[in-house]
Amino acid sequence: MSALSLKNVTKIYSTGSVFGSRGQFRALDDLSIDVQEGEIVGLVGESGSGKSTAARIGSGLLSPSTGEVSLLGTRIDGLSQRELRGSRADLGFIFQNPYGSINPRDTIGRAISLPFRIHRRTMSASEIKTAVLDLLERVGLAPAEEFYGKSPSQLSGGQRQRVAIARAIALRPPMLIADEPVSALDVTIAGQILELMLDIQTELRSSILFISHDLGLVQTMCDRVLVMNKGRVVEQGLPSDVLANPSDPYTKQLIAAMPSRMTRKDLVG
Amino acid sequence: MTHPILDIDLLRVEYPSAASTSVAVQGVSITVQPGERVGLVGESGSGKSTLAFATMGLLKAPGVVTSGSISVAGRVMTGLPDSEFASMRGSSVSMIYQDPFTFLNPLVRVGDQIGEVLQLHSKASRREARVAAAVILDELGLGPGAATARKYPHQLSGGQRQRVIIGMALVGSPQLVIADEPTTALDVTVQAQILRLLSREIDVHKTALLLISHDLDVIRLMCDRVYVMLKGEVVEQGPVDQIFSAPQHPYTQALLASSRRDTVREAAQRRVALMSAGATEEGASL
Repeated sequence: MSALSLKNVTKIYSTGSVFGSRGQFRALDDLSIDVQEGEIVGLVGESGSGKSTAARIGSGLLSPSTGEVSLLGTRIDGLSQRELRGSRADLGFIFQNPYGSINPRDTIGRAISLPFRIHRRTMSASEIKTAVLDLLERVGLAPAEEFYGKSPSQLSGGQRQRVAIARAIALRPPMLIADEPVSALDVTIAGQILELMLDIQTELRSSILFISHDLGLVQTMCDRVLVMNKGRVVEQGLPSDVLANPSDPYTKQLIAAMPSRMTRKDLVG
Repeated sequence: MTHPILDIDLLRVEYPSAASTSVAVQGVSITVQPGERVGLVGESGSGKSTLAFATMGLLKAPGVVTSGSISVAGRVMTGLPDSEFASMRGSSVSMIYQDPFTFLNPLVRVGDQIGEVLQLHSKASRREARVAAAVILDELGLGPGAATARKYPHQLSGGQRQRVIIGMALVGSPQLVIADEPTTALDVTVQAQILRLLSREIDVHKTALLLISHDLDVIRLMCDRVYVMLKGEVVEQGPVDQIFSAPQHPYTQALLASSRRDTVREAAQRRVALMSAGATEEGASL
């Protein structure tokens, strides 16, 4: 069964400018994405490609203009936020910015306990605290008791992203969406966060839709890759195949522009 | 014997505060020869940007050079008043900043912003500055330059703005350009264009480059020699080929391994092995 499926999804924004001209912007154009159970799928594209819009639609944060979105076989497009609440427990979302995704006034413990307080109404306060401490340990924020009472401002970027991961996996959701989870982090810290994500995925067997601008990273992390340009998937396949034999002109351009693949010769001419 | 265009000798930069003083740069020595391309790598907080700002005489308060010296084109700059630094900026050394969205003045036409650099140093009249701006915009692939010069920053894309910033850096024919993460905010295809352009321009103008980046691949591509910074100190330096093929310092080794995603690849391989083992177990139990 597919964990997450977007079928023929289109998203249109109407654009009114100060000069009065009216137009339509097609952020997603007949987009289909299918993430199978246990699979890590990479969604690659540059800014404006529609990859973040796709992530938001996949998570129910945004409704598509047309098309179907299903989470674990259940349609979630067109549902109200209230109706979505049940499905939300099945999906964890990890945002790019570890500084903006946690309420600065919450303690770390409270931030991570949020999913339990919403979706596990029968859990007692002490049960929730135990679960949160376990999660802190799991994401490498030890001693957990110490991190539990800290405020986000006392944490480094990497530590905050660990908190974001702890919250996203709190309910052991079958589906995770990660939107550029390490692009704001230093490369050594990014490596640790990615390792953590891979280990947790192996443990929970969750599916991951991994959104990134970094084709090299997606090759390392993912089972399958989809390349997006201008709201469409222009190429997909096994990461090693796509990198070795890209068929789409835009994919070729993207690969040729990777600094790791460029040589001095490519700088001339 | 040629004199280095930039000679930083045992520099120490501190940020004093009432509670405690933090040392951002400590005993750092860096030289850049005329026409040379030198890289400076390190992660956030390593002091690489502080070093760049100190060289430009633009340290943010309360940052202060407490010992060591910075010489530009044979002239010791440390200890000189701001006006001396100002006369050097843009004419001997210029800087390309990371963010193409905040650096440009939104209310001034881009041609005037480029021309201003020349007028500040009385290198050109207003009319000459305008012509020079149009010429360099053409050269930077933003032609027709005269038309682009009349545009405002918001009418340009991120990549185009970064070209304008490169134009501002080069129009005064400096001997050294310091580029602080010049492509970090850009998409990868635009990054490749900007790197190509920057490389060509510094070749044509015979300008030396000090390229600051956290991206080792970008440094390898663009530079001849590299300094590696960690916690305010240079821990290793040498020719790019040598440092990248045989790093000596443990931090450089770790940085290279992270950059190659070694540990992530290992975790991914572990995952694949465990997932397929799990699948077989499930199959056997059915």
